[in-house]
Amino acid sequence: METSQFEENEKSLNTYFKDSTNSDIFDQISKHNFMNDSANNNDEVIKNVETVVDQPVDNMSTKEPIICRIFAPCNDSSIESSKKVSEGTFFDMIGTSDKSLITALSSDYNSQIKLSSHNANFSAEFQNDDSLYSLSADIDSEKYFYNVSAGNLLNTSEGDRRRDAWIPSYRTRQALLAAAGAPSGTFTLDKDFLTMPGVVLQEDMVDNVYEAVNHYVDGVEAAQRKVLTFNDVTQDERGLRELIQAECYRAAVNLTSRLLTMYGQGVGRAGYSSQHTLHSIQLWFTRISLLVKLRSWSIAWAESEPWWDLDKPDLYFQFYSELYGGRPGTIVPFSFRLLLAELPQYVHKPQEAFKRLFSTLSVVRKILQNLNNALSEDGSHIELKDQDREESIKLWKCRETRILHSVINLAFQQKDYKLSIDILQQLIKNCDHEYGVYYYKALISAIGRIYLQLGDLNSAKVWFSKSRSFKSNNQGKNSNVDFQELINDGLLALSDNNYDKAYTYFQKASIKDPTNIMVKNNMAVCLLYCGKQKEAVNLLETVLSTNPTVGLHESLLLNLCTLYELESSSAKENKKTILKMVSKYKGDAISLHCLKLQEKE
Amino acid sequence: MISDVNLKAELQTSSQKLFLIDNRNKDLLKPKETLDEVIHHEVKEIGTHILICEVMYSTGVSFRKFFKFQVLKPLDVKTKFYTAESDDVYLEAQIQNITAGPICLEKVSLESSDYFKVSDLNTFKEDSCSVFGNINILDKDATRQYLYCLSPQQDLNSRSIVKTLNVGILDIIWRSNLGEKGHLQTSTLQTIHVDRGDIRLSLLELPNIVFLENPFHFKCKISNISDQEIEICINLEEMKNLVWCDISGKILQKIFPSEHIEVQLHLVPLGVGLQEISGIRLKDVTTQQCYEFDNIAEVFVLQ
Repeated sequence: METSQFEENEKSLNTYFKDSTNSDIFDQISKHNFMNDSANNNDEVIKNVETVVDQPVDNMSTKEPIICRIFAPCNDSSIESSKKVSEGTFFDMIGTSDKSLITALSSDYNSQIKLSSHNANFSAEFQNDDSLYSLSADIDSEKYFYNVSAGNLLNTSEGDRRRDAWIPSYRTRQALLAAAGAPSGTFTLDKDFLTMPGVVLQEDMVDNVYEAVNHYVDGVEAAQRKVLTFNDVTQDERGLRELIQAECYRAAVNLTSRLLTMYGQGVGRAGYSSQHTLHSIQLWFTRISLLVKLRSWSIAWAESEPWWDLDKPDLYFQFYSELYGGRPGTIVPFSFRLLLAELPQYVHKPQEAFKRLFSTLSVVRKILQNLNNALSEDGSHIELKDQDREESIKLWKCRETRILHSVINLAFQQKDYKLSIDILQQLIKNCDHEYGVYYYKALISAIGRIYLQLGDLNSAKVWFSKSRSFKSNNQGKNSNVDFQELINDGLLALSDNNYDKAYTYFQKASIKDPTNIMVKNNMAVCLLYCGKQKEAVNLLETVLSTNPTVGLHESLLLNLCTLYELESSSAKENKKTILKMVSKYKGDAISLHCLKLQEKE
Repeated sequence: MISDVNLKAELQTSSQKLFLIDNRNKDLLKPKETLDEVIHHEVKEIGTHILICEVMYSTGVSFRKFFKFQVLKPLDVKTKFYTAESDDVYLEAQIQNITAGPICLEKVSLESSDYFKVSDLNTFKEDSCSVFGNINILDKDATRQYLYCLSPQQDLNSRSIVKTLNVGILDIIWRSNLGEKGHLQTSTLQTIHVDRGDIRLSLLELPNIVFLENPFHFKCKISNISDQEIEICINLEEMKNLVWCDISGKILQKIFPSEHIEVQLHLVPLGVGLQEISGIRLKDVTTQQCYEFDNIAEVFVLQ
C-alpha cells in the first residue's frame, strides 16, 4: 500500500520557499524565550559567571574564596534591579544560552527541508530555553530566598562543610586517608591520582567584531571600536570581572590563560602536575564557562578532559592538610561539576552527558540519604544541630533539583520529550511548597510548552490552563505570571497558525514588559507571517534604536538580517549599519553568525 | 516610482503546474514601498517543487525568480487485511514516522465506505485511553499499528458478486514542531472479498483448556448463505495431535436458505500444548463442491 496523497500546511510551505532564512526566523521566535527574563539585564554572561561563582551559600559565608567575590557587586545589583526572577535566570544559564546558540547554528544546517519536519531544531530550542528559563528562574528565586532566610545565621565552617561536602570514591578515600596520615611534605601520589589540567588554546582569541568591521566596512571604522582587551585591565580577578561585565569574553578567556600560567596550568601544561587551590579551580570554572558561552565547545571539551569525574584526591581539601587544616569536602564548586556534566552534549556526546548527570545525581541522593539517616553529608558520624541538618537538606534538595533541570534540558535537546515530561511530572509531584506557587506554575507551564513543541496542541492547552488555575497569592508576582500566560497563549495561537491572534497576545505581553526582546521578536515574526514584512522590520529597528545595548541581541539581529535579505537588495548595506552598531555598543562576546555577513559576500 | 506592477506565482511539480497567485496588481509602487503577499498552499506531492515568481512592471519589463525545494515523504503507511470467518474484516495499518524528528499523530481515522461499519480498536474500552500511552508521540523512525474492525453492513451478508470491496481511506493528521501540521490521506483501500461459496462454518463453543487423553467437544454453526436448500456431507480428516471421535462421511440434515444448523463434534487430544483444529470438510451433496475448513480454532492441552 502506498500513500497516494500528500497535503501539507502552509507553514511548512512558506518555509520551503524562503529557504533557510525563513527557518531562522521561525527559530527566532523560539530562541527568544530564554531571554524572557534576561532582557532586563542585557548582560547575560555576567550573571552566568556570577552564578557560576555564586553557590547558594556563598553569600552568607564570610570566608568565601576571593574569586567568588569577583562578581559579587554585579550580583547584588542584579538582585536589586531585576529582583529574584531575573537574578534567577542564569542559574543554569550556561545551559540555557548555549542551547539557543546551538540553535542558531543548526538552522542553517536545517535548510534542506523535509516534508514536515524541518523546524525541529530551532523550535526545540525555544522550548528548552523557555522551560529552562522558567525553571531556573524560580529555582534561583528560591535560592535567593534560602540565602536571605537562613544565610546570616550560619557560622562559616558549618556553611563550608555543607556547601563543599562530597562523597569520594573508595580509591580516593584511601588516598586521602594516606595523605592525612603521612608527615607533611612526604606524601606523593601516582599521576593517575592527580588532576593535571592545562590550557589547550594556544593563541589568544581575537575580537571578531573588529575583524568583521575591518573586513566588511573599512579600517577607519574599525579603528573607532573601543573595546577592552586583557591588557587594559589589571591582571587579576578584578580585571577579569571588568572584562566580563563589559561582555568581552574573548579577552576574559585570554586573561584566564595568563592567570592560569601563573599556576603552572597554562598552555601545554596538561599532563604535568600542579597545585590546585580554590582560586585556580574558580579560574578554570570561569574559563570553561566562558568558552561554553562563546560556543568554543571543542576547546572547552578538550580543556575539561583532565577534570572529570572531579574525584581525584587533589580536588579535596583533606589532600592539603597544612593549607586547609583538615577542612573536609571538595574544592570543586557544585556548579562547576554541573557544567562539566552538561558539557558533553555540546560535542555531540549526549549519552556521556546523561551518564555524568546521573552519576552526579546519585551522589547527591546519597548525601540526602545520609542526612536523613542522622549522618553528615559525606556519611561520617558528625553531630549536626537540627537546624543545620534542615539547612543541609534544603541545600542538597535544591542541588538535586538543579541536576534534574539539567536532565530535562538535555532530554529535551535530544527530543526525548517523554523523558522531559516524566521528570517534570516527578518534580511537580515532589514540589516543595516552599518554592512558591510561581515555581509550581512554571513547572506545569513547562510541560505545556513541551507538548506544544511536540505538536500536541490539545495537551498543551490542558497544561496551560492547569497552570493558570493556580492563583498566586503574592500580588507582586502576579504581573509576571500574567506575562507568562500571555506568552503561552501567544505561542498556542502561533502553533495554530493564527498569527493575528498570536500578535495580539504578544502585544499585550509587551505592554507588561516593554523591554522584553523575546516578545518583540515574536511580534515581528507574526507580522511577517501576516504579510506585513515592512512593519516587522520597523518594529525590530525601533527596538534597536531605543535601546541598542539590549536590542543588539543575537536572535533579534538574526531575525532582522533575515528580514533584510527578504526585503531587498540593500540588505548588505543594512547589515553593515547593524555591524557598526554592534561595534559601537558591544563587547567581543557577540557571535556574528547572526548577521549572515558571509552569505552575501 | 513604478507603475502597473503585476505579480504571478506558480508552483511546478513533477506532474503539474499550479497557479498560486494569478495577476496580483498594484497600480503604483512608491520608492521603498513593497508589495507583500503570503502564499498558502497544501503540498500534495513528493519530489522536487519549483516555485516561480514573476514580476512585471511599467512597460513590459519583467523578471522571474525560482525557488526550488524538495518534498520528502513524511510517513510510511502499510496496511494488512485479515478476514475473519464471521465476515468481519480486520485492518491493520502500520504508520511509520520517516521524518527527521518526533511527531504527534493528532488524528488517525478510517473513513469507511458504505459497505462497512468501522470500530476503532485503538482505545481501551474502560476509560477510552489510547493504547499507545498517554503521551501522544511517535518518535523518528518509530512505527505504530492501528487496528480497525470492519463489519459488513447487513445487505452485504448475502453473497455478493463484487470481488473487490472499497474499504475506505485512512485520514491522518499530524503535527510536529510548534504545531506544524501535516495531512495525509491514503488512496482508497481495497480488500478482496473472498467468495467462499454457499457454506459458512463458525465456532459457537470451545473449551480453552483440555486435558490429555480426555475427550472434549465443541459446537459449531454451519450456515447456508445461498438461496437454495443445501444438503451437506461432513468429512473429518486426520490431524496430528488430536483425533476425531465422530463419524466421518455423515450426511447432515438439510439447511434451508439463510438458515443454519448446529453441530457438535468430539475430539481426543493426544499431544500436549497448543493444538490446532483442522480437517473439517463439508461437501455440497448436490453440486459436489467441497469446502475446506482448516485451522479454525486452537485449544490448549494440559497433561
